[in-house]
Amino acid sequence: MKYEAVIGLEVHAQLATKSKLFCPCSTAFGAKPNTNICPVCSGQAGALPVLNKMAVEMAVKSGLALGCTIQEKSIFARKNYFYPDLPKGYQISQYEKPLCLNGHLDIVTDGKLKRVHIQRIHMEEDAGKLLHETGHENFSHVDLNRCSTPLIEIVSGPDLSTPQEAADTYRKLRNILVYLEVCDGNMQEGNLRCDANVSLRPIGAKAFGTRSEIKNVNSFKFLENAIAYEIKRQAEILDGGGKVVQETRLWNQAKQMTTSMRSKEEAHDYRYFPDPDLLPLVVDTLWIEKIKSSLPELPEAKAERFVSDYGLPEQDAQVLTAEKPMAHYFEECIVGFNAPKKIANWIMAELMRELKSRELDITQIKMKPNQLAHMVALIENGTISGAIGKTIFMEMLNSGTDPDKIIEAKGLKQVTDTSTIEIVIDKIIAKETENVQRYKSGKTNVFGFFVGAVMKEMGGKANPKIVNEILRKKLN
Amino acid sequence: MKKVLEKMIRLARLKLPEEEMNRLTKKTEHVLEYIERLKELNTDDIEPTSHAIEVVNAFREDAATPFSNPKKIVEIAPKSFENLFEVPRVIDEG
Ligand SMILES: [Zn+2]
Repeated sequence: MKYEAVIGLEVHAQLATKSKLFCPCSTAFGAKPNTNICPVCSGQAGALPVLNKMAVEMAVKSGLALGCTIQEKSIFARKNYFYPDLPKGYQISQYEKPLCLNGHLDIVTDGKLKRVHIQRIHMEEDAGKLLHETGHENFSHVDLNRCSTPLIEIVSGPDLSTPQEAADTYRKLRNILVYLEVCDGNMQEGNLRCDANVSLRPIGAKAFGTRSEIKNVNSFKFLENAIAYEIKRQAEILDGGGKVVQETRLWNQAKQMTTSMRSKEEAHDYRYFPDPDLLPLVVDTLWIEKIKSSLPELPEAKAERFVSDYGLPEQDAQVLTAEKPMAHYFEECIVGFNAPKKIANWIMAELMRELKSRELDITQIKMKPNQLAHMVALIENGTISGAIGKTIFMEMLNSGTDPDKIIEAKGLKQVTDTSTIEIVIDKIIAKETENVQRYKSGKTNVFGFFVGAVMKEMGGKANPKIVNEILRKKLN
Repeated sequence: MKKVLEKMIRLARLKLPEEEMNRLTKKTEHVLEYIERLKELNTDDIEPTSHAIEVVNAFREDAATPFSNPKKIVEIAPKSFENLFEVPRVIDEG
């Protein structure tokens, strides 16, 4: 049987606040275990939570950027379950009345535009961290530093039908949150996490099949792998006449498979109720408008501006604006040398290729935007050739040295002195008598050979335009 | 009713002696009967009550201030190991 997959995502993003959601403990990553804890976040009797205003504003920002309606009144609820990483015995979340409802996100997969529904965004606190490799093997250990750091959970509609669409949605969500500066988007540090609900139904069917929820996916690639695996697994079950079990499954990247996660299975009765310790949250129109006016330019708007202001092709604008630091780097280059298309070409071809092969991101490189801009300017004014430019580019990338210094140290300056070039050309014409004969008999395609020979002799430093001119004069 | 109560008690990780269970079952039945009576009221235009008083919005500004004695919190836990809370072994992998 042919099936179609129905996929929805739940993305947890840690908000980039300084302090936790309900207490003044620091949210800094990598602190010594249990140093950023207090009576509130460790669940001591009588301690009372007080809501972090900045976290609310960041959540509202995210909602606005995703086209959601911000709810005037939202309510914090207790989600009750027992697990050692949850000291209060409940997680403070939002249930019936979340902060944001009904938004959308546009993705382009294989050139096709798709509008993904964002069902809701709610605020909640994170749990602590369980450690299994410490101390006696009969015990686990708990670090509560992460406990109660602010999260938003973004829930998409079941609108996605391929692993690629899911990865594109996740990628775009990350880019938007990073653009908004509400989340660092660092998946290794766990401040962005994604669960995927996957089910299958026969093509054309309306009713949803039974779904499984995949957890523990911490990269775009893993998300694609995990969903692809899950689609195949469920199709095999259905084809064999079996039934898919509704359950939570974990993605195991090493084994390239999802495995059933049984331990939390029974407790899926969370008995939500409004948290009496927290007052209802009211975000009025005035506040929403104030937050709206503080929204930065988002990827789509930036791409449009890159087309209209810099005259870049649509495609280039998309590539350059996908990630905020890259867009920023490009614009810094333009400040240094106003040749948008030329700069864009260097960034998209050379720079992006090197970043990919070195597994670096733009914020980690030594080459500064004004250095790249200056090098492109040097090519344009004829000081260096494009080929030498590539050598300098690599050197700048490796060491962060200024292009002028590299040119001086390596003697890479382009030779534009006609008499120097003429001497070399004369030498080559004298040596290559056979090729000169060929040229004169009408086989003008050997011209390229002469250019190459001159360039080689001069270490690529001769100005190609002058070489061409002199050669033509001498050969004709 | 007893079944529902048993489930609640299991979810709350409680253990009650048999006679206590019987007493609670009766009591809970009474409470639920009362709620059934309340359900007869027409509440169509009434927003469900989440809080008893009409106060909203209590905020703190986003500033990090360390608690004076986080070490003490680990020390008063039933069990600890170095600077970590110690709990029975739990592992998620299926
Ligand atoms: Zn705290």
